[in-house]
Amino acid sequence: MKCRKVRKAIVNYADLDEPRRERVNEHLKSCPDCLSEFHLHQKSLNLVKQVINFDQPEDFWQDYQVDVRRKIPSLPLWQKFLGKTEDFASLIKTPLFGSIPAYVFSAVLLLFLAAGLYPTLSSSKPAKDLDSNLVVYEGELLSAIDDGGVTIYTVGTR
Amino acid sequence: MNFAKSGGKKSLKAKDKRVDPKNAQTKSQGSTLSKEDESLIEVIERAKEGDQPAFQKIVEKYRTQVASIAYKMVGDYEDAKDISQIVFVKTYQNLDDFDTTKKLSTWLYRITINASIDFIRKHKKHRHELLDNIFGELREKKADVEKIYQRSLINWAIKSSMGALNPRQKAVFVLRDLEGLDIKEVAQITGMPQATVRWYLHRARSKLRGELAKHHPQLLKKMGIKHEVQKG
Repeated sequence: MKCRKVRKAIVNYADLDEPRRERVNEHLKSCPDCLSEFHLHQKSLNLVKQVINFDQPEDFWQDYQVDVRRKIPSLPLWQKFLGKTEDFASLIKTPLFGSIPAYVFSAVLLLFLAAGLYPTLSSSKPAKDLDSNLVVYEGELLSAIDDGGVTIYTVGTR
Repeated sequence: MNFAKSGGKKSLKAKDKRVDPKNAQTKSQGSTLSKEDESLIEVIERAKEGDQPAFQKIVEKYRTQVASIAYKMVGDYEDAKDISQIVFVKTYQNLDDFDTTKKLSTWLYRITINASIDFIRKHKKHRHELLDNIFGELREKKADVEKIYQRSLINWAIKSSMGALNPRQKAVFVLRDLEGLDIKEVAQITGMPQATVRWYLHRARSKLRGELAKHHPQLLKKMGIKHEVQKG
């Protein structure tokens, strides 16, 4: 390895891969000039590390958390409202259709419920299994036969 | 010219990124998480839900590293304190966008570097606490005046040399050489390819030593560092 290449490699000595570092080390053993340059670089770097060291003053952390909380701006009203809306619009995971908005899910659920209840609520058919029934029919009564259990009325048209 | 921006406004998409801490795995390493990582993810999830004590735990855990990076970038303790607090405010506001499968420290350091660069641009300075330190030490410790003066000169020389680095050079130098992070992590924080990080590092180290040799040769001599001007 030539001196020129070694001088460049010295700057990045800490980041060299193992084979390259070995080659630099081999060169340094036999080249006093490059070795001196290597020491110069290492000493300069160490000096910088020593000087630019985070050695905070004693009161550095005093009221630190309080200040952070104070610097967090409180949300304006419209953003709070938006947050509520986002919660309302949050997604619900369904097994069939995947993620759908909560309000859509609720609306569909209500529709299904309404559709299920509609026939029961709107039916005009008489209820089954009644013991007796009353049919009002306006017309001329022709006959009435009572067989003990049921009375059969025969009615003529008007 | 900030490094890769970290997150934006809160979004529904971000909520989908949430990971069950028990099943979470790091994408980069593909290995199972340690108990410490799991508990940290739980703390982050709680903080995302607006749990104040959980957020305070995050601040407590990372404040030293964040303030340290900020100080090394701007060279002033008060400014570093302000920047680190701004970093945690931004973290609080954008926590929903944080992907818990990634390292929180990487995300925080990126915000710190960007905030520091913004600060340097805004104030166009790299302040030094030279005089404050000298008079403070003289008053409090009544130490050897000559010794303190010499040390302060060294501090000033090095900090002013640091001021000669451009923001990218300074950022990679601080993260790699002063904070001791590996190249891969520096690349993740700065959003640059590893080869580019190496290039900026090379430039930063060479420039720093060049600045010291050019402007403060006597100082280096006193420190026992001989410098020969490189030719070619």
